[in-house]
Formats: sequence, structure tokens, C-alpha cells
Amino acid sequence: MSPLTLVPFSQDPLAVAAQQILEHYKVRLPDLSDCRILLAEDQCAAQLRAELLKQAERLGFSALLGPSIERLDQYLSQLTSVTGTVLNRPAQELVLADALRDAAQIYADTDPWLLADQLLTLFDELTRSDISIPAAFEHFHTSLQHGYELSSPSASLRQEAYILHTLWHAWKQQLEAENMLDPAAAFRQQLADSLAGIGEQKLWLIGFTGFTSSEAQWLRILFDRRQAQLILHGSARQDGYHPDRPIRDILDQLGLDNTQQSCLEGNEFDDFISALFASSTDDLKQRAKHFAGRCRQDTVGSRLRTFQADGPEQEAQAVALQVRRWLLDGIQPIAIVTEDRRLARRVRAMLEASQVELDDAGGWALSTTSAAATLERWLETIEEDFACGPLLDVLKSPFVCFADRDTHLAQVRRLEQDIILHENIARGLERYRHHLDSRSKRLPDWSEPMRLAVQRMLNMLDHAASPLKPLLHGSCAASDFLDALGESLRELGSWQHFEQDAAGQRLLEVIARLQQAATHSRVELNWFEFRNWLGRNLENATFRLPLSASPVRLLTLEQSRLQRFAATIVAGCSQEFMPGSPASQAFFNQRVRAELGLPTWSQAIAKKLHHFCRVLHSAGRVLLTHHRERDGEPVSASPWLELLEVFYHNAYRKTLDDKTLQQLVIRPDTQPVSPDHAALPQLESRPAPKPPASTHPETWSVYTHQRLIDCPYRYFSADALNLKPQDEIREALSKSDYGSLVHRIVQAFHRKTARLPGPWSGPLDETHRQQALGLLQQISEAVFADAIKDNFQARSWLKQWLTVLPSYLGWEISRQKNWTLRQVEIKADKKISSRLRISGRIDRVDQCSEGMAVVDYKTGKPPKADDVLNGEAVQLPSYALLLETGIAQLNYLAFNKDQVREQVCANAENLQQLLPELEARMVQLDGALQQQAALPAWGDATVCGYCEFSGLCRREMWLHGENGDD
Amino acid sequence: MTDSPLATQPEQSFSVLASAGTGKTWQLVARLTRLLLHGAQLNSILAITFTRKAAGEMQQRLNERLRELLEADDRQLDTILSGMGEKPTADIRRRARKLLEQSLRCEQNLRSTTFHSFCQELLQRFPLEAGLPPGFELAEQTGLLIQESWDALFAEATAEPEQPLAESLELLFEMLNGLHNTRSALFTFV
Repeated sequence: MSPLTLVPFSQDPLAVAAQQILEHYKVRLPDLSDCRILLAEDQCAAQLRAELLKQAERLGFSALLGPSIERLDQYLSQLTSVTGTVLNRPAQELVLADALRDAAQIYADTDPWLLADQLLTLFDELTRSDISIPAAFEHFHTSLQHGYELSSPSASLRQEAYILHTLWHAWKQQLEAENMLDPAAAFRQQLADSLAGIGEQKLWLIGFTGFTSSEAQWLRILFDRRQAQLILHGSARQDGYHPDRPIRDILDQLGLDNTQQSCLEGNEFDDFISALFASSTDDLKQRAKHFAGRCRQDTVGSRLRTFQADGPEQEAQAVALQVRRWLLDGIQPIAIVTEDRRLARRVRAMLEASQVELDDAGGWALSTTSAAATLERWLETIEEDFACGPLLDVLKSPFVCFADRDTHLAQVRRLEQDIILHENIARGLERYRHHLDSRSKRLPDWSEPMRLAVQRMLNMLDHAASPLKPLLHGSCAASDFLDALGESLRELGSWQHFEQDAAGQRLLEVIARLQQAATHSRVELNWFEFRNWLGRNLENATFRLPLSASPVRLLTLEQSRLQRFAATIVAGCSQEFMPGSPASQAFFNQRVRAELGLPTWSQAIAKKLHHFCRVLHSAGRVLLTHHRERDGEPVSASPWLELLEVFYHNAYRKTLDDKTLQQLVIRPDTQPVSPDHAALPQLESRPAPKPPASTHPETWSVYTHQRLIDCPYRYFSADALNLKPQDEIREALSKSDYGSLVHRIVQAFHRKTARLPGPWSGPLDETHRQQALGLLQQISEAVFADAIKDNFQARSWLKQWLTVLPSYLGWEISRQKNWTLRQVEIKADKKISSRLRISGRIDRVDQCSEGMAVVDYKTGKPPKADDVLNGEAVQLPSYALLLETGIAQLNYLAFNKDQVREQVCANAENLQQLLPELEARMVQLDGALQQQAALPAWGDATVCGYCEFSGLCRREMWLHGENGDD
Repeated sequence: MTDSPLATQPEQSFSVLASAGTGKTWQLVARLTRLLLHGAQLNSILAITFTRKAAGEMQQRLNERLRELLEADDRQLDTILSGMGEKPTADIRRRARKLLEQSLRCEQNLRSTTFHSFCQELLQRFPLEAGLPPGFELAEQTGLLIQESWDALFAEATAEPEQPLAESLELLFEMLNGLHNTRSALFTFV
């Protein structure tokens, strides 16, 4: 038997392999226990077993003593042991980053951890390719200069060569001194050692598309000993930009010629691919016509279909829809082959919504699982002083539970709603505790058991964080961080929950792998270095759900090798993924890589093309999809897809477009039904609801009154529907918070206020200015103290306020000449009609011989006097209505940035006319409301700018339409 | 802009200034095509523009033009070539019909990109020379990061009000007359 069999794409390589194996072991059947099969991709091990059994049954054997089927690395690990300690990747990162710190002078300010990542990838490639950087620096430098095709010396190149030369040798010496190996070197050692351990055994290597130079050397020895049988999928007729190239390269690498291979016959579709990629003097159109001349009956169009979606969402819909169509027709197994993981996730979600499970061989980054997200948010919680965002995510995650689930969630809800949102506490365990105590004292609905439960929850969080908190500053070994992390997670209870969850188990495996890595290095890390190291390893780790028996498999191009399906979808056929672009690397360009003997982009692209063409043969029905736009930008289709389409069109004057799928995918009834799928009603004109009379309040606050005048829809939202804007956490003091503090200070200056100094007693004149100023400063500092404790930014507000104080005091002294302060913070209400009352809280009322003045303090911009007089700004006149009679003046006192400014809005004469009119309008408005008058949204830009319900009236939808009609 | 497709001549440099919709992209694609016809390698051409949309469209338009060249009959092909300012000869026709396949089978596609992407690519290729960490990633949304940094700054000052950071911030409040100016001043360093 020849040592190499090439199986055309159109034939099933596993069937060929099974046939050859059964033939080879026919005298020992049904015992295949001596048979060693090494696969390039172990996704298809089960299919190979099934194929062996199927063919054995035809030979009269209903059962087999199965062969060993595994990957080459798994086989070598069983056969040999490595002398020395093998460093896994995280351990390599620790050791190299440590070494880099000692060589900081050669790479300037660059982060040693990121540099280590790039260097390790390069060193790994060099070792796998059997390449060593020469000991003589000038020799290495010259080879790089040659690779870059530089005719004259370059300082940058010399620096690159120097960095690599120095670090490579330092790295190798360090490993040797400590009897350690990197995985690539260990693998090479295992290959060499295995030659003695293999004995007489024959190895069947199936489905490979490339070998490293060490593997090739190992194979050549096995070929010489007639102990290796190679079964490859594809042919080796062509070189260059061609799907045959990887197989051609293997043959060249192994020194196999045509006499040592057995080639099976392909079919018409193999000819199609061959004609498509042929290197010929004919152009594509001529080759297509020749092909069509040879194959008059179109067999390609019945196998291949293409679908061009408008965007990624439609592409995912089309893929999911086609899978469902095939399943309904009983066509299975189905493969979805894609390199686009984002598309894969969307397709999986859509199929799951249709109750179609799928085996996802690719999996996804562990960092995207909820287990890893919980860990990440817990670490953020600790480093951000228990910031409410990450803290609540942790408490609501399924991996944290301090009581039974419902009770725990009820406690978390009280913490969120009553403490964090209501009290506006953004972070700080002590502040949560403080406000929990004060709130439970203040409000009767807070039962003591609930307070204790939330208190206990906060204590447990504190306790769980305590192992990690000391490590936030300073440096320590990775093992110390990991020990503290483990202790913290156990205290939190998450470790135990992770053990019960598939992704959680994978997370614990990664932590164990890091712990193992940490035993090789005592390098000291700071908190952020540890976080980056942990994060990078969670990002690089893959999580795969255990495979189910689903008839739909999600695979990458490489994972699909050797497999056959009833139908295949190659999704995401864009330039970005097929072929993609070479990874950006800090060291060496493609030409230098080729010069050194490292894998090049040219080889990588040929391998991908090989897999792409192979997948086209993997089923009798193949759909290729891509999308033409994403976020309004064009997305280039894969050049291979374009070649296929152009070639086919020129051969048969037809397109490969799947027109049925195009029609189906835009039909709403082909998509899975979702409860929230229905579109929102189109709003073409401004809303003007007519709520029933019973929804209107019988008492208007002054603010209710103002809302109704500002915008009836705002009144409708706040006062008829009683909606409240969503609570949002504000880290810092807002302008309205500042206003409240200023009101409190001024109030305490004039009236006894609990827990604050003051009030001022005695005359307020220039002779007492300094004492009054001193008292105001004392009150101000006391009032601002809590805000400053909550956020340091409040200090700047205090400073601003202190600059206003002299001006304010000046105003008070001047005011006292003509007016006497009568009352502050006056609560009042008044009956306006048989149904309606108005209520409010007046900042201040002053008295003079002519009557009273209503004063309202403003830290924002007060309304204009004209707006007060024409009935647009109703706050001050409404206060005047609340007081019985004798109002001589309406005043705003505006606290500006560095001074106060008094604004007189109305005098007794104005008010004589204004107040009766205002009262009459209120009665009239209330009457209209009782008659279910419409409450339209005005859409006034100024009001909408501060409206707390902004967006509810969907202003943007109708305003543009109305403007367009103008 | 004149009717003559002078700017498509690959041997000369041109600056084309014209209004929207007058055929600048047509000229550009014609020039790219003629460069390829005269032996330029696809991956040796840099076509640079301001938006990713324009860069993607340029690539698309080139592919469409090359497909036209492949599928046109001889008379149509001559018309297209003449329209671009190229004299149709047997050799040029043969080359024109091969351009699409050459383009689709090129290992490195046309660099049709934006100024930002091109510069980013250069920095990624030469990070050490640029003083950047290898493998750096570009933050697309900086607003959130800036706000987080601002919050973190004040969280630290709030937690330790007697420490130098808090004292420095207080000094800035004093000297710059408040929070707003302090924020503006600090953001000039971003």
C-alpha cells in the first residue's frame, strides 16, 4: 500500500480511511485495538468510529474492539514524558514579563506585559518551525536586512534585531537554567522521544493540512520505517494561490513523489473547483465557457446557492430560516460553517428562539459568560469602593445568594430602591450602612428584620472583599493574588456556585491553571498587572457547552474538516473573514517571515482557501451567505464567493442567488414569534390625551399649576398619570442638589433648624456684618459636610457658595432697612373653587408698612418679570394666591455664581389685576379638565429641555412631520 | 473638470477638484484600473479617503469596473477602455479581462482605507518606534472612559480628603474658581 492517499474533495475521507484500515487489519477483525489513528481535528472522531462500524458490518462484524482515535499531541503525551518543567502560557507570561523588567532599557516605555504577549507568540512560532535566532548578532541582523530588502543600514531595524536577539537568548538561557521548557520545545522533545516508544505500531494520520518542520522530520522517519499511513483530503496538482497548495506543500515537505501516492477519482464538482482556480493563460470567462462546454448539464447550480443579505441581522435570519426549512424537510445533519463569531452567536440565539438547539463546536470566549462576568464585576466592586453598578450586578447574578433566592432578591431590591436610588448613594460600604440605619429609623415601613438582613448582606460583602482589599495597593506574587481571590470567592459563596455551573467549572479550571503557572514565578505584580493577566487569560480561554445530539452543528472552517453533512451553510462570506487579513505584528513583515522560514500569510490564505473549497463539497446542498452593509458602510464579499459567482454566471448565464430564500426572509410570518415583536404604533401627530375627570387632582401644587401652563402633556404625565422619572444615581452634587443646600442654609440662618447652628438673632446691620458672616459660614460648612463626605466635588460648590455669602449678607442688611422678615418656609393651601385647592411652600415672606412681599430663592435662572405678569410663570403669583391679602411685591432672589441679584416681578398694582385673572383661569382650566379637555404636548424646546418626561411624548416623531408640512 | 479623462493617466500626478456627482470617483476608479493595466500590483496601491463608507465604495466600484471589463464583448470593451483614456490593443484587452481574477486572487487586497485606519495600521506595525505598547487597541468611545476616570479621581479624593490628591484638587478649585474650570483645565491633558 502506498504511504499516502489523496482523497478528492468530493469523496468522503472517513469512508476511505475506514476502508483502508479494515483492509489492513482484516486478519485481526473485529479487533482494532492495535490501530492508532491520529486526527488533525478530533471533532469527527465519533463519525470515524461510526463509519468503521458501518463498514465492518458489511464484512460480517456487528461490533468492533475499537481503535484509538486522538490528536497527535494527545498521543505523544501518552507515549512520552518530558524531562523538565513545561510552562503553560500564563506561566510563560509571568516569567518573560519578569525578565523584561530587567531589560527595560532596550524597549523604552512599552508595557512589558503586552510586549511579552507578542514576543511569546513569536518565540512559539520560531520554536515550532525549528528556527533559532543565531548567536552572532550581526549574522541575525544581516538576515533581517536581507529579508526587508534594505540596501542601507537602518537604526529601527537594528533596534528590532537587537531586542529580539537579546530577549530570545535571555529567554532560552533562563528556561535552560531553571530546567523549564515552553510547550513548543516540549512537543519537539516528545516527537523525538516517541520514535523509540512507537515500537512496531502503525500510525494512521488523517486530514492534516500542514506539518511543522519537526513533525515533517518525524514523519519522514516513520515513512522510512513503513509505520505511517497518511490520508489527506484534497489533491496536489496545483501550487500557488490554489486550494491544492497545502497538500502540495506537504508532499514537497515530506519528499513524496507521484509514485508514492494513490489518488482517487473526483467528480464534476471537483472539476468545477479545479477549473475555477486553474492557472492558465485563459481568462476566467474563457475557462467558464470551456467548463460549461464540457459539462453541459448544470450540476453546480443544484448544489450551490448564494444569499446576499442587506445587513448582518438579515443574514442571521436567513441562515436560521434555511436551517428550519431543511429540518422541516427532514434534511439532516446540517452544518453552519462560519468564521464570524458575532454572526454565529446571533444565529444560535435565533435558532434557540425557534426551539432548535445546536452543537457549537467553536464555543465562545470564557470572558463573555455570566460566570466570568460575575468575577469581573466583583473585582470592579472591590476596586471601585463598592460602586453601586458592579455591586448590584454581583448581587443579582446567579452566582451570589445570601439567603434563599427570593428572599435574597427581595433584600437586594430594598438596597437598590430604598438606599442606593432613593438616597442617591453611588458607592461606599460605610455610606450604604449609614443611610440604611438612618432610613430605617426615619421610615416605619422598614422592618427591623429587613434592616438586619440588608445589614448582614453588607457585612458579608465586606467580609468577602477583605482578602483582596489589602492587595489593591502595592505589589505581591501572582500566587498571593490567586489565593486571596479564591478565599474571597469562597466567602462570597460564588466558588460553590461556580462548581455547579458548566461555565463556572471552566472558570475554576482557568484559575487552577493560573495557580499552577504562578508556582513557577515569584514575580511581583501590582493590582492592575494581575487584573490584566487574569483578564487576558479569561479572554483567551474558550467555553464550549457539552455537545448534544443536535442535528445542527456550528463549526469553523477548520473544525469542519473530514465531515460530511446533508446540507451546509457557509455563513459570513465576507472579505473580513474569508480570507481576512494578516494579524498585525510588531515584529517582522511577511517577507522577513518567509526569509526566516516562519509561516506566512500566503500559506495561511492557501489553507483557508483549501478548507473553503472542501466545505463546498461537504454536502449535496450548500448555501453561501454574506451581508452587503453594516452600520451603513459597504461590506466587501469574500473574493472566493465573487469568483464562484462570476465563473458560474459566465459558464451558464445564470446566477446562484437563492430567490426563494430572498422572498421568504422578508416575510414577517417566517420569523419566530416573539411577544414583543409587534411594532410600536406609529405616531403621526402630537399626542393630546383626554384623561377621565377622576384622574385629575383636586389639589394643585404650585408646581402642578406651572406644569399645566408649561405643557399640558407634562401635567398629564406627572399629575394625571402620577408617573415619576426613573431614579438615577448621581456621583456628584447636581445643581438642584446645590439649590436644596442653599435653601437649607438660608432657612437655618433665619429659623432654628435641627442639628445646625443659628439662627441669627438681633439686628442685622453693618456693625454686625462679621458676626453674621461667621454664622453663615458655620451653617454652610455644617450643611455641606454630608455632601462633601459623599463626594469631594461638593467642596467646589461650597467654595462657590462662600464667595456668594458677602453679597447675600449685603442684600439682607439692605433689605432690613425697608422690610422686616415675617416668616420663612411657609406651608399653605387655599380653596380656589368648590372642587379645587392649591397648595405650596413659600421660601420667605417679608413685611413692610405697605404690605407683604413673597420672596423665592433661585440658584438657577429665574423667570422674566414679563412672563410673571403675562401669566406664563405662575409660581410666584400662585404663592401670592395662597396668602390671604396685602401682597405688595413678588420677588426672586437669584443666587448667581458670585453674587445675589434681586428681581422684583410685580407690585401691588400689578397684582390687583393679575391675581383675580389667575384664579379665574385656574377655575376655568379645572372645569375644562373635568370635561375631559385634551392635554396636548406643546413641544416647546425650552420646556422640553428640562422636562423630566422628555421623550415620552415622542416629540421627535411628530415635530419633524409638522415642520415638514409647513 | 473637463470631459477629457486626463487624470486617469497613470504616469502623471493630478489634483482633481470638482463638485459632488461630477465623476471624481469614476476618474479615480479609471485611474486605478489603468494602473493595474500597466502592471501595478494591487497591494502596491494606496487609495485613501476620509470615511470608511467611501473607502468601501471605492473598492466596490473597482470590482464592478473590472467585472465589466471581463464580461464585455470586444466592441464594448474597446468603448470602456477608450472612455478611460486607454488605447485598446490586443494585449490591453487580454490584460483587461484578467484584472478581475488577478484582483480577487491577490493575497493582499487594494488598500482602500481611511486616513485614520492607515495611520493606525502604521502604528500597529511599528509600535516600539512610536512608543506604543505592541498590540494596543484603539478606544472608540472615549466619553465613557473620561467620565469613569473623573469619577475615580473624585472617589479617591472623597475616600482620603486629607491626602495630597484632595489637597491639590482643592487648590485647583481655589485657583481656577470652581469645578467647571477645573474640569476644563484637567481635560486639556486628555
